[in-house]
Amino acid sequence: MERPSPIFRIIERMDLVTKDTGELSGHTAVKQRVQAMNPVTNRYVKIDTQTGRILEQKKTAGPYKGIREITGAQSNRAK
Amino acid sequence: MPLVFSPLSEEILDSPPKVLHPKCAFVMRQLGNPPDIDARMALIVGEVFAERGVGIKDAGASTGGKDFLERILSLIRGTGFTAAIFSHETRPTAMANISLELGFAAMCGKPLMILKSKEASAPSDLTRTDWIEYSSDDEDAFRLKLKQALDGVGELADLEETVLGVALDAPSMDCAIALEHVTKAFLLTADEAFLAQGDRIGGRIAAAGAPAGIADLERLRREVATFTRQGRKALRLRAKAMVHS
Repeated sequence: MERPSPIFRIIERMDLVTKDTGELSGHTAVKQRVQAMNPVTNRYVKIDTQTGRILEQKKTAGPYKGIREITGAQSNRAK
Repeated sequence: MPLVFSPLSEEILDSPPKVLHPKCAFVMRQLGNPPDIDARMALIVGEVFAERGVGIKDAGASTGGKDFLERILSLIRGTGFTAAIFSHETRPTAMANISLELGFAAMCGKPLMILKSKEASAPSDLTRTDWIEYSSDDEDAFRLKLKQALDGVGELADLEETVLGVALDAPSMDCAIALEHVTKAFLLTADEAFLAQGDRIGGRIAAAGAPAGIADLERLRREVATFTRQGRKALRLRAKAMVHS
């Protein structure tokens, strides 16, 4: 039985990291990160979307700046 | 007897749990002649967990010829989360065992619930941890906190699902990490959909082929296959148990 998809709330900005293209403009490639809230620690965790690894947990309250946030809605699992 | 020994074998420490108990909690408490207050807390925990469809395993659940410590660790690793129940009347030797098992569970990355009487002191290393206090004068408050803690477990399962979603869509998926998340999510929820996602991870590994001279992929493939096989078996047993109850 297919599970219903969680509803995601997305904050628009993405984390941009530069790489040298060899040209003077120095345009950037995008290294993608997203963040989600850990309800146990009440801190945001940063996730690498290229590999799915959790990179780090924020030491202070509040979200990381400039990183897309993903949140899952309350699941429809019976509580 | 050797003066220096390793109580747990390499096999237990390095391999995934062989038996899974999805949507079950491993409860640590004094089993032999528990004080009345401990027994009362355990009874309320049983009632509240049963309302939410959460099963309970304790040290008495595992039988067999293996080392007792290994059986305890298998139960901790094979359940979704752990709950420690103790009071000011808990026997000191039982309290030492509870503390040891709490340490195991913490190192296994399991969510911990600490339920204690108002008068009891928690291990000092856990002073930053919240606990659920029991008082016979206000059992309703204890039940309410317990329900809130179970809500927290549900939120944790949602986080695992969210992170798993990112991992499954990743172009260069770290399959071992993805397997960890899918295992945690499954053990917290007993949701069959996570087994299908385990199959997806297995598919990605199979698609990578078998590079010569690297045994890791094969080992990971076997671990994913063990997870999905044991998960399906656990769900069949769970369904059977619910029919009979």
